[in-house]
Amino acid sequence: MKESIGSRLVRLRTAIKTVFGMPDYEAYLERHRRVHPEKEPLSRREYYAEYLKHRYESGGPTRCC
Amino acid sequence: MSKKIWSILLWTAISVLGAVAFAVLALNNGETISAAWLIVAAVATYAVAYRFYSKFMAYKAFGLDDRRATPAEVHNDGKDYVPTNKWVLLGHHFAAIAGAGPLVGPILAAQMGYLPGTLWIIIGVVLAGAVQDFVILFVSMRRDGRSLGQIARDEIGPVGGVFALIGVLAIMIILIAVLALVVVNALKGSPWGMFTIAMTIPIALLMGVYMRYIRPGRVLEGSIIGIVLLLLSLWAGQYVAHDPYWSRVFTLEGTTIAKLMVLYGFLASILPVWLLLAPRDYLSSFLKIGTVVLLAIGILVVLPPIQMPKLTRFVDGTGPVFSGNLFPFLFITIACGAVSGFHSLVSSGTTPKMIQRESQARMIGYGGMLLESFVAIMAMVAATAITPGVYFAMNSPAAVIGSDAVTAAAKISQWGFTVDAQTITQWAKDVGENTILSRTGGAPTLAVGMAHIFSQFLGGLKAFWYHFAILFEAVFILTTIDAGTRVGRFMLQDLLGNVWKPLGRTESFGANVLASALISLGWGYFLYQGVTDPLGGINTLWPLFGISNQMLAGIALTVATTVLIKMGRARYSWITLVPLIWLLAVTLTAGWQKIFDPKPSVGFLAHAEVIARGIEAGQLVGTAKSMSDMYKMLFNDRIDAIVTGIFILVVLGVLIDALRVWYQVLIAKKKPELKETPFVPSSLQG
Repeated sequence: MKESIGSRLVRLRTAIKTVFGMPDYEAYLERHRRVHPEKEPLSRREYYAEYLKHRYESGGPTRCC
Repeated sequence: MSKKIWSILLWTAISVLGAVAFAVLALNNGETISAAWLIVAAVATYAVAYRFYSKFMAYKAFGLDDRRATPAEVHNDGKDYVPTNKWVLLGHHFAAIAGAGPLVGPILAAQMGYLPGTLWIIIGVVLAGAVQDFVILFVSMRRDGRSLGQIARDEIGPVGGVFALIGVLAIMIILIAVLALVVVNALKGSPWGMFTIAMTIPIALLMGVYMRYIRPGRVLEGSIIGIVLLLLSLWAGQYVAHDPYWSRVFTLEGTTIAKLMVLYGFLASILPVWLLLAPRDYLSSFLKIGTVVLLAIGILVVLPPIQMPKLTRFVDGTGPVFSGNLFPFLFITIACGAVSGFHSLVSSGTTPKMIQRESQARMIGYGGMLLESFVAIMAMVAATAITPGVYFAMNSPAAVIGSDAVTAAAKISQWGFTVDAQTITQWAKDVGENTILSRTGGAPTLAVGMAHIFSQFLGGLKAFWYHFAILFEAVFILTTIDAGTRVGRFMLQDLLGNVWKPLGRTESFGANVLASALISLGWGYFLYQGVTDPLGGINTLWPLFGISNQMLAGIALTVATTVLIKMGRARYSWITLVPLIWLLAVTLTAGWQKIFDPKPSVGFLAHAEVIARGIEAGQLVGTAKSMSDMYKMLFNDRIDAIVTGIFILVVLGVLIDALRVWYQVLIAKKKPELKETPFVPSSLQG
């Protein structure tokens, strides 16, 4: 089966976000609905704040020389 | 069957091609050769090493097993542990390991000619650098993605663990100082560059506010806006440089820029990440990947002729760019690109938590480092494609070649690299700078090389491309600086927390400010020392950076060897032992010589001795302008000697503790306790 252009674009966007370490709210929502369907998901803004805190406050290096 | 024959033919052809390219590089006698030979030699070697050596490691030595679930599959929490497509993860990993290091080292090493540096980049990566990245990725992947420090503690012991932690913190401070110095040297007296870089701060703040309040969480959008604004300010920079008032505002002394950078690093470390750090990080990642790809295309399209001879007279250790003999100093000058200890922190950081299947660690660990090595080859091409006379004009300290074009041209021509004053001033004019003399640190040379290549490839003015290249390097160095200061702060708080609990609380504002200030002042000290150094600082500090980075690689390979031995795979431990022994030989010799060599241009103590005698006799030495300068230089030399000594002790500390473990397993036949996570079968098919 051939993949539609729309879904290819979505995959490309997800790939770009992962490569550059950007938050992916759509992926979070999709996962949240699957794993915790009973709980209310975070808003986009809350998710972003949570993501940054997790990414930069965990103490490991994110970038090299 | 026929497929197999084709494969044999193909790999024979690639090997022959690589061998021919090496022959051309090594046997060439004086005529100018095309950069294509450098690229073919590198790529053919990478291909063969990847196909055969990394495969041997993956399946014979490490025993990668796709039936075993990776941490990403087992935990899959949507946060840290996320199974990721291998190509996407390769991009992610590469974006994390690539930085200014592989771009700067080869440029400095070019003073000895193109051959020694190129050989070390290619051979080093295949046998050392890529091996380290791969083995640490493998080891960490088998331990839920634990960090190098934790693995050292688990597999060697608490002593080795503490030494490893101190080593990481110390290399961090030197690393930040040296990279900051590269930026200072690129920006001092350059209003165009200074303006563009200064603009990145308001642009980042704007992006931060946009992504938090205006369009919350829309990072891709915010980054695109940021890039557009950045290119606008790059274009506007030329008008700033030509305006009599504004050009004066943005023409700063090195010492002023250094102070501003320390302040910036401190603020970036205590401000909320969404405001400054995160937007800058995204901006710089985009710029980094974009420019590296563009440079690769540019070099492949233009294939510039190599102007630098294969060997210069400076293989004898008297070169102006860095002091000391080819062995060991070439091998620490090119750290990243051949082997970079810092990568072991990334390979034991986010990447191992995202691997889908064990076998993919080969492409991401080994393959990712081969890509970084290719970046180093590109830097070598950029540096050797410009006229050698211009190269030496840019990379020699003013104390050696003087500070006007006529004196410099005479001095450099005397070395055998014929150049006239007019060529030097013409280059400065072409790239829109007041002068290109003594712009040490590698970044301006790379920028000139890139301007040279891009103006042939895409057209446009050299001045624009020069400042584009400076912007690109400065932006991602600044990102390393602010991210590094922050990480350093966490590490320091971790250590200080052992002494007094409240200092370890990362959410406490007071503890936070204190640790950030200590880290910023720590690297700020070395930066300031470098900026005020009569030899331009790079000469003194870059070797310290190289030594510390290679020593970290030594620590990582010691940990990896220990794990292989404890896994009962001691017969394969030569894979990590060979590069380990080589790195120990290089770094211990270099460290020893930096401290004790009787030549004042190499040894810190010998230099201190010269200064001390000057002080006793009441005479100023070198470019010192006052007695207080002399006392400062004396103090700096001693600090540098102590820091080098600490590096040596740290690496020996880890090694000796590891030898104890090796002895227990191999000779005393004690049953080793391997801290690998238990086998969980993978549910992924095929």
